[in-house]
Amino acid sequence: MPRGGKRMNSYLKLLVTMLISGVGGGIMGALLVMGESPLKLAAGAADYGLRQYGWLILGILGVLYIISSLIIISRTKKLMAREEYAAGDQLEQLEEQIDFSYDLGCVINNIFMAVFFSGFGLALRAAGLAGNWRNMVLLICLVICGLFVSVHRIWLVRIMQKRDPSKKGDPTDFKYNREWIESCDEAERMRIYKTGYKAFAAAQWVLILSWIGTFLSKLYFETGNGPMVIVSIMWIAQMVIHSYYKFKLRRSRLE
Amino acid sequence: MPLSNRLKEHRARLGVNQAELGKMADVSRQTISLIERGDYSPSVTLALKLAGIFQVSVEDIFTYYEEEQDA
Repeated sequence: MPRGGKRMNSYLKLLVTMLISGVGGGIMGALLVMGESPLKLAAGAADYGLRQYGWLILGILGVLYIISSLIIISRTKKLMAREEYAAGDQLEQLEEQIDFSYDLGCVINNIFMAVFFSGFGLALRAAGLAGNWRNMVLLICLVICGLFVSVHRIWLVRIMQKRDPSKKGDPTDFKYNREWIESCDEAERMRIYKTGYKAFAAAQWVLILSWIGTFLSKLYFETGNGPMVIVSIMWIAQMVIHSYYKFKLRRSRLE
Repeated sequence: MPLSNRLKEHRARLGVNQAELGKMADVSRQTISLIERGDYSPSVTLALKLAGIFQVSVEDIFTYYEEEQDA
């Protein structure tokens, strides 16, 4: 197919996508109008449930996180003890298992931290902040889990640094991320950059969908401009920061 | 990936494990493992370092082959 033909198809594809999106948006809008009352009821019920039982949900999540982290820590320590006596292929297999345990620990730590702090913010009841027993329970969960998350993170980093002394950085320091990546070798950096880019690309979709969600929420649930402003700031900040580094790295050393 | 390697062979000849080779080449054990599995192509610098460690040429360790392309 001639090159001009390929470019024409892209414009046509764009037109068709816009048409389908317009039709899809119209259908969704009509459904939302028809289902406005049940949706408002459902949203109200979810919000009430979270504020009534959020302390219980977060408490359970916290306990599950602590138990699963302790299991992974114990497993990793046992595998590391066996490392001393292993050799050849068995040693390589053991090291793969230890690396997997370590990565799993990091993933659980990161996800739980995001979920817990978000849930805490959503579940906290603003009215009667001090005198409400649910708030007290939430605060206690926050302190315990927050402490455990930090200690767990420090332990994970220390374990990695013990196995590989070339890894630098103190996880309690602001310069930690920079020092850590500078001490990584080429393959580790490639993995970090690839992961980072995929997360950036996924975050773009999340932000677009969040913008749509907060826009609809403004129209149907009268939540005001607040949520839209926050999502918009995040979206713009992401684009600006990405563009800044894209230009900055044009003439920089890439190694 | 259009790069095959005989890293494991040379490592066995030298009598070192992945972690030890990693220390000699200034990279992590995971990187050596990735290269041996063919999941990562090392940089020129690292390939030359490895060749120096084994006292062979880079071509003795790594072989580049053209992937077959549809006409």
